[in-house]
Amino acid sequence: MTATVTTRVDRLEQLLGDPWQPDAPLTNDVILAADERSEMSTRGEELLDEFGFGAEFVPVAYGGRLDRLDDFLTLSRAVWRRDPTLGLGHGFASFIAGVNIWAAGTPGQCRRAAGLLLGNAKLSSVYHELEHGNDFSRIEVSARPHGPDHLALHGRKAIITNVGRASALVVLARTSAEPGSRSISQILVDRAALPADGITDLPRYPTVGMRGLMLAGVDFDGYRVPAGAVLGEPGRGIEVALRSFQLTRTAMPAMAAGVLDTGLRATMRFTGDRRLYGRPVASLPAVQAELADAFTDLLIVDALAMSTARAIHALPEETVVAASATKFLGSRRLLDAMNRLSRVLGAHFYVRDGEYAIFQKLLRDLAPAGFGHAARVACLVTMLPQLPILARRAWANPPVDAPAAIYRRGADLPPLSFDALAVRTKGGDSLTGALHAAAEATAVADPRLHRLATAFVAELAALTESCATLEPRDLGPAAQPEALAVASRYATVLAASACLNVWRHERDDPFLGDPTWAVAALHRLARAGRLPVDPGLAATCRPALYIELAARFAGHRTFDLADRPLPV
Amino acid sequence: MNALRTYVTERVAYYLERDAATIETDMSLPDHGLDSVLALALCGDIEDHLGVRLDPTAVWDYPTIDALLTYLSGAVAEAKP
Repeated sequence: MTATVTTRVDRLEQLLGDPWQPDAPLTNDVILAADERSEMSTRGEELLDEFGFGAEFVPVAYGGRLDRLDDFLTLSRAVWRRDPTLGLGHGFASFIAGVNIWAAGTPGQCRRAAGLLLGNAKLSSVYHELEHGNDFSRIEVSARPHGPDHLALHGRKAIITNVGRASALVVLARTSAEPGSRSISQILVDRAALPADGITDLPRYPTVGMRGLMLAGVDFDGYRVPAGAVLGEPGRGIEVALRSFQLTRTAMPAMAAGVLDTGLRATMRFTGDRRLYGRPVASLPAVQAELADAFTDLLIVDALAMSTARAIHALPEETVVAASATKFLGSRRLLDAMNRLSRVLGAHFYVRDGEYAIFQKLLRDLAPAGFGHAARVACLVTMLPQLPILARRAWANPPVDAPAAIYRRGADLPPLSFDALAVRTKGGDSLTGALHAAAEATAVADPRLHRLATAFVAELAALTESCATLEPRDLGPAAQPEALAVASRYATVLAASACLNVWRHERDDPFLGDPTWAVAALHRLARAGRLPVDPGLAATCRPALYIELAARFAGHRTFDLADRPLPV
Repeated sequence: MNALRTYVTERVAYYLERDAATIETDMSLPDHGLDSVLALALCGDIEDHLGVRLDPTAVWDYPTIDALLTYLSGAVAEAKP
């Protein structure tokens, strides 16, 4: 964390308070009651408005506080730790729409959107059509010329967060009937300022999780918007999306890591409170192992997501594949960890009231991290056609190391540049290049870590060969499961490189600079990737990780890399 | 130029898994069924074949093989001092 965000996140934490304390401004009980009513937490929204969270979505150049993506994610995670519904419904939905505007809008469009967000209004990203899922190249909602000065929108969008209450919409629409990638554009619809003729809100969707989220559809039937509402040049919609998605796909697991933080905290409370077989549950070795493993998973997801977020600043030409890999691996690892923790809680993860009721809500709310915004398999399909290019141009050649600032908390970064983000890979891959340099550093530091790092270097070499055998059909949506596995294996190597390099560049930190957590992290990744490693290694690391986890729990600190104090 | 035309046509045929003889060089690649992600992979192949860097979205902006070849001849000429 940088110094500027430390002040902001401390203020936000104080404003929201400790959700486990009954007199806190925003308690678990208040959050759960809103969920039971399928409503957004009014109290939560008021507090975030008081904080001025909308300004966090707006670049500094337009009067907001959005400066560094990693800082934004630290702040957002503080909200997601308490209530993911609030995180998405009060905020991230606006952020997704916003990045499209900052990436492609005119200064006037950006100023208008900034004004709305700074006034705590909402934006909505209106991409999704039920018939087409993540296949945005085939969307049907159209925006066609209507007279000399207007476009008329026709068609239906479905399952859109906040579409009914947003002041402005970013609508992905077909601006040409031609097939191909120059027929789709984003339209900035200033809904609050336009007549309501030709736009109809559809009923809300009831959902399993994020029950309070205002999820609905919208019908356009000749809805007129000014011709100048197109964001950027008409027909650039796909590439604007490919750029903006790099921020938003990276962000999703980074924010949702807050859910696992609270999931761990709830489970730590439970295992400390409860006695079975004549002793506290927390003293059972199998329980400690589950907790240590979930803690390790949180560190893995944080290392991967924060390094990708910082690479978006420092290596913007190299993040188009990494962002999808981050979404793919991060969301799965968080979901798996929460599911395993639910087994520790037993019946207490299943009941909807009482001391640990927040867990069942978090588990339900986390599910969209897997399919929401971009389905995990859609992330693999984004990666696949680019992997052979990375294999030829990067992995098969002498590795290029990545800047240390990508892995070191709070180090200086270049400013965010949407223009610098690549639409397709140019073949550079310093994020796995750094794996080689880190592996060398392990040689003198720790033999266990060295063996694991070497196994991942070999895996990257094996992936280079696998990529050479991919058939054309395996590079698109019709890919065989074996081909999709190549993309998944790449994500695992990327995560291993992230963890190793956090260890390598945080050597002065007593916990992160010690090899133990990195051994645990790489071992978990290696086992998931079926690499040949000693299965007994995990048992050697878990006691130290459990001790760290218990110390942070007792000391009211976060379980992520930031190891930040929490309000008491 | 004919060699490049043959290469690009064969590469398109490879991605579409069709006989190169059935590829019409004046028909748009999306009309042939080449979707946007495969178009990007094609772009990468052509770059490595020619040893030049192309506009990231060249295949979207020059959607037929004929248009792409015209663009490529310009890009190759520019790359050679």
